[in-house]
Amino acid sequence: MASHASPRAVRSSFLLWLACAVGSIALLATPIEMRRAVSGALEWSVFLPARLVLGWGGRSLLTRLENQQLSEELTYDRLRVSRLEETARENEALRRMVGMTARAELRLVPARVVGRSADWSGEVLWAEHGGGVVPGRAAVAPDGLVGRTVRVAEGRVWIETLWHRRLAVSVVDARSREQGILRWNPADPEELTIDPVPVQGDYRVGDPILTSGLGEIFPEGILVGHVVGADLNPRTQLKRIRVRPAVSRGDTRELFLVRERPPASDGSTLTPIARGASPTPPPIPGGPRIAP
Amino acid sequence: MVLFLVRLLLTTWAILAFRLVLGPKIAIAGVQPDLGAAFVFLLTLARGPTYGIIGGLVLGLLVDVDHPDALGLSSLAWCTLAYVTARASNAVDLGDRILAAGMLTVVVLLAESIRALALSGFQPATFLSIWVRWSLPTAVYTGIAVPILIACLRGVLGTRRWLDAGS
Repeated sequence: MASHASPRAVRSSFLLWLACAVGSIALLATPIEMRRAVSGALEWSVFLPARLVLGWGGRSLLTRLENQQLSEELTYDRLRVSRLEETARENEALRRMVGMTARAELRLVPARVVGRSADWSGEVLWAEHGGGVVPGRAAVAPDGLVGRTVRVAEGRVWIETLWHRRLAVSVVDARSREQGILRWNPADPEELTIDPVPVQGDYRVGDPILTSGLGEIFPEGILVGHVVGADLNPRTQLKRIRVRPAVSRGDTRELFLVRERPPASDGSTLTPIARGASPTPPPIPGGPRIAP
Repeated sequence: MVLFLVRLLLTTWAILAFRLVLGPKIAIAGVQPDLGAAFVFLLTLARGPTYGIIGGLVLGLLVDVDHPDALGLSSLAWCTLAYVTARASNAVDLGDRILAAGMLTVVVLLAESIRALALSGFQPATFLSIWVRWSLPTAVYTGIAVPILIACLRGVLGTRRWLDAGS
């Protein structure tokens, strides 16, 4: 049966809702630093039992240190092999020609994903690490770019992945050197897009997409994904390039966090530092240029 | 009252754990049932608007911990959900399970629409695409999955008015 509340009860519940709604909106309007502080306080207090269950304490970290070190060595080897294969012949010569200094080695911190939150506002990974991590740095896996660190607490780090609506990555096509901004759109959650791109933008199916090094977060040359297609907006004559990420969504377990700010770059030198990255496109019969 | 508070805390923990552990595993094309909204709905039916609205506010803050840029948005959506549920329960007989499941779908859709509206930056085209791709499927999935789930967990929340109706 439907219950009938008195007018006074209805009014009081309306006032309570109004107060809560105004409080929520006021919280939304506060600076992001304050919201992060509130979020961090809630995480530390309310989620304490969850942290203990998931083993975010220092003891559990020590027990996993050996695995992390092995994974770190493996990834370093893969990165080194990739670099040797792809850069020894062409990029070093190009660098000498343009007078560029060799890029500094990245210092990586191993991390292990212990939690994942994913809904349509974006994917966030919770990872434990060995220390020396700061917010606003790249997170990479052997396959390619994973995302960026956004918040660091003792032994823990929050990572917004490529599938997060707040993340935008300055990228470059490894073959044509076309530059653009890669984003995830929750309205089209299966793919990442470079949007908008002028209609004459030179992208081909299979082109590796790398970080350009522009900006202060992502070092240059990290494989982000490969071009899989494009859509043309007939009204604006602008293209939207669809990119399949190199890492699989939801599959990342071990990853590495870049420790230092990437060196300044003009985007003119590129050294892919992930498995399968190549500065030249893979052989595609006919080399189809995207023309939707 | 003490027993109710214990149940409340346990259920809150279960919902937060569900979002992290089980939610992504049972997601269909990325869409997972919104247990938090369903919990606020049930709490409102069981204990009235005051518990529902405050519960929505608190639970909303907790689930937004890993999205600090949207901190407060789920609170806004869920306390609104609780208020609308309380008003609707005055006019509609939610003792009927099918009607209650339908009402759950509607109020979850309302809450998801509020979130979609805010996160789309009030751009109609973006809002519509998010609403079709995420909000509507989430509401439908919740309206189907939650009644099945609570049929298995009957009595944990003490929501007898709804759960025991028709049985």
